[in-house]
Amino acid sequence: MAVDLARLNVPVAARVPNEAPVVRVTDLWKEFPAARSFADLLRHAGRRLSPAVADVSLDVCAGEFVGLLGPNGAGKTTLLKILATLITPDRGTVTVGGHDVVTAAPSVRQIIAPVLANERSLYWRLSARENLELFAALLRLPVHDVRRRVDEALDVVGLSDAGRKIVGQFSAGMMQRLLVARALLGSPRVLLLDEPTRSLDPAAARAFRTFLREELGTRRGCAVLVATHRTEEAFELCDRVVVLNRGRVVAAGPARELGEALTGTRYSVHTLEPNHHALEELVASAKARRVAATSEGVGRWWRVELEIDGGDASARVVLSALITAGMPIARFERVVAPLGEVIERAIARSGLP
Amino acid sequence: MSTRAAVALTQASWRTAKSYRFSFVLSFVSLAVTIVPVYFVANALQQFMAPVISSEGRDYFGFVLIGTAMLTLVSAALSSFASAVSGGLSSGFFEALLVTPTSLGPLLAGQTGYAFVWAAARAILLVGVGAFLGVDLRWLRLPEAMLVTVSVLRLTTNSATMDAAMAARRDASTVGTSYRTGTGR
Repeated sequence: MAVDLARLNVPVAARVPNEAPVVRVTDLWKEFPAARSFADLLRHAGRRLSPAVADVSLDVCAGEFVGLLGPNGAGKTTLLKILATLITPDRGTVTVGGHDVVTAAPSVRQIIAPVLANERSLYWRLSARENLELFAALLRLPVHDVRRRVDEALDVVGLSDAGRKIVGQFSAGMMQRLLVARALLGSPRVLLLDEPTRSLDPAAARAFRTFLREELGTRRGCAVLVATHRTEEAFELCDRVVVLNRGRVVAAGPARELGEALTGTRYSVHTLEPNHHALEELVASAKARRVAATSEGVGRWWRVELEIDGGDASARVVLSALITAGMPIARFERVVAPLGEVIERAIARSGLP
Repeated sequence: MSTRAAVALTQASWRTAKSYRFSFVLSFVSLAVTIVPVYFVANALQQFMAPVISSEGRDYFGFVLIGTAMLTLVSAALSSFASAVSGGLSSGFFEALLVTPTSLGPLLAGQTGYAFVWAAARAILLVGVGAFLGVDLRWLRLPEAMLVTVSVLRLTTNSATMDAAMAARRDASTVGTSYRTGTGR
């Protein structure tokens, strides 16, 4: 019997910030002209605006990971671009390290490092080292210090051996790591990650998230904002999660609590005996509700889905009972609800129309 | 202006172009080769064209050659800014540059630097091949020629900068953003 404990999906404990936030967003608004047909332009004069970010407020402290979770068009990237000084806000204030993103943009750019663009923002015909050396010049690092900083950045992301390799020969994961290395060159206090695991397979994505957590959060103490539409990424990686929909915050809170409230209480057990007596006893005693049992088509394995109230603590009790009773289990994991369901639950909780 | 940043960007473009070795060499060879037919055609037309260009000198091939070299430079000045900005915006590279502490001037200079250097190299090669084929060049008047060239390039660069701003504005409105290069708040 093997239990894949790495898949138990225990959220990272929320940090208790003990200092002033590095990033402070207050009542932020940004509107863009809505796309209009030619006929509509003839009928109605003037511009019609559509809010991309509406009344958003949030703080991020040093060493904290905050996830911006939402579907496409929710305003996540717009918010990151405002923080990166690429877009000017219409209303509200945004400060990074105490500097206003509009009036003190050059100071903000000294301490912030966005990983916004995709891998096309690298020179594919140059080596990883040459790419980093270019950005070292743009970041105005001292000339005598460039080699050391580039070596260090490559080492941190595990690309030391690939430093002289042409970027066009890199895998998607290596390119993501190189983008992070580029961001780390200037020793930023704030990192903005837009869909950091977009082009990675599930295993590579999990490894990359672990790396981000350890390197950026634990070792460097950076404040990190992660925009994602992957529910599991937001709740696994981040200390706090802000759920955005149509530019508005529909839910926000510590990842553990919000995750339990929004991602559901469904767990799956991969077993050889879907009708094991221990399972029946748990259902009979109302500690778990059986939702479905489906054959996985590989050997005689079954996937049994259970609803378990009480979050991960109750799930651990259930798992412990099943193992003690000798039920053959290959895997036990939480089933994260799809983003659409999470948004619906968040909207229902918030009371927003 | 941060010269270091501009030079670093120009070098990166140069290394990229150089990495396509065959294409790189071929572009020089083709330039040298295509000027040869022009030489023969110009010589064939020499007796008809000489009176027409009498105020510019009597050598028609030299006249065409200098015009072609100037056209190479003016084309680079006109197109490089807009193509650098619009290409950079569509690939996301320009965003990566804009979030660095380097100001916009060196970024634009660096993004277009290679195009200018490349155009200058082509123009010099054209003049060199012309000299080899017997064009009567008055080297003593080179400073005057340089002054005229720089003035023309300055004028065209100003128009090109406006073109680049329009490209940035157009691209920015496409994606619904107002970049530092385009529309403001």
